[in-house]
Amino acid sequence: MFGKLFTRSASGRATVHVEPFGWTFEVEAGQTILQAALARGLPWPSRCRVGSCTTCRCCLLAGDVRTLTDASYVLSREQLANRVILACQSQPRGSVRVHLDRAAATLRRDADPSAAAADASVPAA
Amino acid sequence: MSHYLRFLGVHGFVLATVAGIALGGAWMWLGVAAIYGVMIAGDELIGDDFSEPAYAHPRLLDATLYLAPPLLALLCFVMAWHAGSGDLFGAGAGVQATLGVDPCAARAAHGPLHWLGGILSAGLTFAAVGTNIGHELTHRTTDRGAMLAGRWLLALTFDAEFAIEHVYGHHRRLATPADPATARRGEQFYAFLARSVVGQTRSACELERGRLETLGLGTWTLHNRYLGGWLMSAAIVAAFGLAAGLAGVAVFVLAGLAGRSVLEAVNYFEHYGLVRDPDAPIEPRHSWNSNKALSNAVLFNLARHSHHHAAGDAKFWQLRAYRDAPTLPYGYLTSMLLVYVAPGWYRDRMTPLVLEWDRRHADATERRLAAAANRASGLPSLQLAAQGQ
Repeated sequence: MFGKLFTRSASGRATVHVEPFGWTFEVEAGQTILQAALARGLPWPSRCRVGSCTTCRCCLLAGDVRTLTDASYVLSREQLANRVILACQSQPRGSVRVHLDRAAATLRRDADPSAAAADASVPAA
Repeated sequence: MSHYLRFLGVHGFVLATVAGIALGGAWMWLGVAAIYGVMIAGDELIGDDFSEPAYAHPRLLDATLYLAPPLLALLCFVMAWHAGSGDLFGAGAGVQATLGVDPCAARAAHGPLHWLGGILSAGLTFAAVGTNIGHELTHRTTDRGAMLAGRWLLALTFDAEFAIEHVYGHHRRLATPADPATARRGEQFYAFLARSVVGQTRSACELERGRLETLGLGTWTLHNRYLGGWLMSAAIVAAFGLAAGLAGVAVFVLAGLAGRSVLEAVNYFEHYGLVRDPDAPIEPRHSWNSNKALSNAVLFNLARHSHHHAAGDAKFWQLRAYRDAPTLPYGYLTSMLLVYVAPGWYRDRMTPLVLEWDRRHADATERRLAAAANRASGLPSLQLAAQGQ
């Protein structure tokens, strides 16, 4: 409970680091990881945005998220055990580090993830 | 202020239905007549509203949603009282003492044709208020209170499983052949009604079974939300049986089924004939939109359907107009009435709009899918168009 106070900045924002692309971006309080990523023009793959198609899934490497929908309807037991989360249904509780499948991210033909990384990166400190 | 007050209007329709059934006789048709009459005329006369007001007090708007459970409980009570023969909780004597009207005399005057109006009124009210607000609430999957209230509202139309299928099925498969709740090109309403109900039931079962397996929970337990939903409906049926015997059960079950068919009529025209590559994101063009002012005020912006599907987590007051999205030719109640009484005519009415969608909205992949859907539609006008696609 208090950890949230310390890891979030005063404005209620949280920082998301995305591997292997090296993207770093801020998520406003109440925003999901996907909303923040798309707002910055990042080519994060997504389809339904209500937590059912699993296109936006990523792996939570560090940190904690608040999950908005019941992911057990759409993710397997193995995925849940491996901390796979849906970016469209996850609000970071403090800073998090996630891994996004490179193949999944390049599914979006209209954007090049490596090019987007240069625009989106902000100093992590 | 009016931006807030307009969302209270729907509860006036609940009161009209309650009053109509309580007055008895031909008044029992009051609910259905008022809802169709006011909505059809209002959408025609008032027209569109593209405004996107910023609401400083969204909690007030949420409060209007929570008026639905007590008001619909009142409706159920009045239905049960009039279907039964005793004086439930002394309500009849109380009404006579305070208002000076005799509910027992009203009850004695009910004939089968009057009850038909009462059942249609109650069914339409269950759908317009119960299903619609249940839809809004069960999208709020992290809010336990909203989920509970929403599922009880949906249970009035035997559809608490909607909370599973709609969010985790329909929103994922939208505008693809895999979605039972997307009407195909050339499909008539009554054929769609059967396919959609069967398909959504099957999908809800499969989704719930998958979830229970994933979590290692047993099928025949209270963890099973599919069964839980049916228990909610069964509890309401049992309450009607206790209060008013078989007549009470019959009245409620028929009203619930009528309400369920309303949901399917709405499903029918919200996505009729639209196609999407299952691997492509859901966009505003994959729903038929409407900015009719009255439809949106009464149905909590449900008619702003393009934004709802493009951003399923948006609350009703956040939904934007999307003027350029594919637009329905009529408001919601007008479309419903046409779908019910003239299903073939409505389907043909949509043919030029569907073909315009192919030209104006579809991307290259969707144009190919649309051409295939036109060929498979069984409608000569669509098949002819497919030759040039």
